[in-house]
Amino acid sequence: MEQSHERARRFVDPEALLPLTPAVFHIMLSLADGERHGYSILREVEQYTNGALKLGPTTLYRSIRQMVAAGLIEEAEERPDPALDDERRRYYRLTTFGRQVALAETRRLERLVAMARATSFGGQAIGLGFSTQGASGIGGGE
Amino acid sequence: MTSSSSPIHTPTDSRRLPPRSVRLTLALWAVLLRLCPRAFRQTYGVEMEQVFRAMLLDAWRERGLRGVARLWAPALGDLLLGAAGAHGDDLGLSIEALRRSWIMSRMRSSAIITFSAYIALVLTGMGFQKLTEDIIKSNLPSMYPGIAIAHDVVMAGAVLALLAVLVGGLPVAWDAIRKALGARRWGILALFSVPPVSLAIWLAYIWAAMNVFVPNHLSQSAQLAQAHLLGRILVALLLLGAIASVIAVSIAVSRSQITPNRYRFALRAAIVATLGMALTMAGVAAFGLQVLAAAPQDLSVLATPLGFGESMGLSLLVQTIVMFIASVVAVISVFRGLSAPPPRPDVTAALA
Repeated sequence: MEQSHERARRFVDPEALLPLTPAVFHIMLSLADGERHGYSILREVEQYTNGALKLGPTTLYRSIRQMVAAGLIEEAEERPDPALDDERRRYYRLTTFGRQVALAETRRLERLVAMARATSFGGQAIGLGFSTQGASGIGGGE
Repeated sequence: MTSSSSPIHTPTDSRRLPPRSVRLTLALWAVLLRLCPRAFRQTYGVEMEQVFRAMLLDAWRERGLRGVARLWAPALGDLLLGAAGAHGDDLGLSIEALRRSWIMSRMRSSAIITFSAYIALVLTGMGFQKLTEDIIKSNLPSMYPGIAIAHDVVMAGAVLALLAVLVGGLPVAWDAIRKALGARRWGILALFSVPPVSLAIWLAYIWAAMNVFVPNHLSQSAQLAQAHLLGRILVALLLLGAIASVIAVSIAVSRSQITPNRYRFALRAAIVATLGMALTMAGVAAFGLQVLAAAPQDLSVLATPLGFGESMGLSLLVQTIVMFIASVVAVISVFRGLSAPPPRPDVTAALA
C-alpha cells in the first residue's frame, strides 16, 4: 500500500492537489524550517498569523491525517529524548512531494494576489495594508 | 531530536499535576473525543489529548479559570465539527475505495473477456486452417485469386490479433508473475503454469497418437476408425486445455494486483486485437463465399478432419458465426473497459 502511494506520488502533478485548505497550507508553512510536534505546529501557526488563525486539536490532527495519507508530510522516525520531552509525542516533517505542493500553492497564491492588485481592489488593498485576515477562532482553518 | 529542529516547544511542564479545573475539562473533552471515528482516535487520540492539555494549561496559567472557560466554546466547536469532518473523510475514502474497486473490476473483466474471446477465435481459426488446407493446396486459389486473398486476410488478421494480445497481455502476465514470485504466492504461479502444461500434454498426445496408438497390424478401415477416434480426443484435449488455460489465467490475473495503467494499456492493445479478430472473421466469411462461387461442390465435401460428419460449408458457416460472436463480444468488452473513468490516485483522494 505504501509502495503504491509512493508510486502514485511520482506521477501526481503537485498542482492537482491545489488549492489547499488554509489549515493544510499553514501546517505546511509551519513545517518549512524543520520538524515539529502537534502543539508546536499549533503555536507556530497562531504566532505568525498574530492569532488570526487558531487551530484546534481536532482540526489539526484531521489535517495531519489527510496530509500523511497524501504524502505531504511524514512522521519523523526519531523520538524525543524522554528527559527533555514526552516520548509519546510524534514529530512531523514535510516530504519532498509536500515541499513541491507547498511551492505550487505559494505560486498559485502569488498569481492570485498579482491578479487582485491589477484590479481596482489593488489600490485599496495597498492603501489598507492588504489585510489577509479571514479565519479566526479555534479550528477556523477549514 | 534537537531543539534547533523544533524551534517551538511546549512551554508547560506536562508532568506537573494540573489544577482541578483543567483535569475536569480534560476528562470531559476525552469523553467527547469518542465522537471521532475509532481509527482516528486510535492513531491520534493520545496526541490530541496532549495538545488540548497543553492548551488548557497555558490558558489557565495566563488567565486562570476564566482562560479555561474561554477555551471551552471554540474547543467544543472544533471537536464537534472536526469529528463530523473525520467521519466524512472516512466515508469519502470508503466511497473512493468502492469506486476504485468498481473501475478495476470493470477493466479487469474487460481484459479477461477480450482475451477469452480471442482464444475462442484462435481455436476456431485452427479449425479453419485444418479444414481448408486441401483447398489451399489445390489449384483453386491460383484460378480464383479471391480465395487466396481471403485466406491471406485471415492470416493477416490472425497475426495482427496475436501481436496485439502479446503486446497488451504479456505485461499484465509479467506483472502478476513478478508480484507472485515476490510475495511467494505459489497458487498464482501454479495457475499460470496451466497453459504451458496443457500445451505440453497436447503435444505429447500428438506424438503418442502418431507413434504409439495406431498399431500397424490393424486393417485399413480399423486404422481409419481409430484415427478418427484419436482425432476427436485430440480436439477434446485442445478444447479442454484451452478452457482450463483461460480459466486459470483469468483467476490468476483477477487475484493479482495489476495497476490500472497496465489494464488501460492492455485495453488499448485490445482495440487492435479486436480489429484483427474482425479482419479474421471477415476473411473466413469471404473465403467461404469465394469457394461457394468458385467450387460449390467443395463445400458439400465432408469435413473429415473432425470426423463429426459435417460438411465443409456448414463448418465454415459455424466458424464464421463463432468468430463473429467472439469479435462482437470483444468489441463490447473493450468499449466497456475503456469507458471506465480513470481512478484518482490515492494522493488526490486523501485531500479531496
